[in-house]
Amino acid sequence: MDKNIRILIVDDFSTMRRIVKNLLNDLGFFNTTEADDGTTALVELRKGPFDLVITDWNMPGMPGIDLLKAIRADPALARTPVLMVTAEAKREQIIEAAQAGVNGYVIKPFTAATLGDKLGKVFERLGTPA
Amino acid sequence: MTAAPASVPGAERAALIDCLHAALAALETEDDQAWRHNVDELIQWRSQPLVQGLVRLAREVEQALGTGGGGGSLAEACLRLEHVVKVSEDASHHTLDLIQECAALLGTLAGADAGAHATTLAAIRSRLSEMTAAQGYQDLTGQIIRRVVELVRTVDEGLGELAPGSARPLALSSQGHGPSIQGIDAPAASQDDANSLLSSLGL
Repeated sequence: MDKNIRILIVDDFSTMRRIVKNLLNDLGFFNTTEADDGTTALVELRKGPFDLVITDWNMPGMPGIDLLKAIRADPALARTPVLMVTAEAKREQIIEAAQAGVNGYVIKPFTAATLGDKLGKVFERLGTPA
Repeated sequence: MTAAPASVPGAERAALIDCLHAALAALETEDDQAWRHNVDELIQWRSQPLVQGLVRLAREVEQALGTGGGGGSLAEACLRLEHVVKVSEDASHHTLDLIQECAALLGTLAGADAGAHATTLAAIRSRLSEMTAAQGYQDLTGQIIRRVVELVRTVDEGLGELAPGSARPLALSSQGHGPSIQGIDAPAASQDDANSLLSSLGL
């Protein structure tokens, strides 16, 4: 698969952004950018094309679920795959995210293997060679 | 507010009946101002015991903090909790530095005896990845502590402003529910639960 894809990591905790970034590096993805909430993520997304967004749900400012809805509502961004990585694990939240068009849902705490697995599934479903 | 008085004293009862009649009459004659006034009076009567209880609680909390000896204020308690988040964040970043250094050191071995130790090297790399993921504890505990800080701060501000008749509802601004804690919160979905839920939704 194309390891050069551009990935936007969105989380308000610097530790979690670094963890996701390092795990992506371990999997061979080095082209990453970071944002600390939905609002700054949208600014980044509108600056240049991204191939994948990995976002937290619970953030001050714009939460991840609103970011997901904003991405799906913007014709220029609508097709960008979104992987939610979050401690929000209520059944109705997972359903809300699915209905809003999320491409994958990883519950914190997660293992490196789970993250790799979910990424593979996202690309597989999109028809990109994984 | 569950503790409604079992019986209402006579005079108060008569006043309540008058108030309810007046509210009903105002509603029927579409006198919006009188309707609001009478309903507000009923609400004030109903919330009086709660407000008095909170004012007493505020006074007790203030006394307890004032005489606790080094206990500090609620605001100071928040600063201490935020310090905990910062310390754990720094420790997590330091651990992540060390993990990255280990990965780089492994890289220097690759050339030498790569063939013989390939399996071991791969196993160490995979464990380093899991150590990285395990640092996620800092985000989870940090989220829980930040919610407690916000709650304490809201209560602290609310107690300061409490006076009969000026009841401002205390509300947290947090988005979402935060990490679920065993024994306190309703059980959260596991990754397996989430997987089967998503696949039932066609994902």
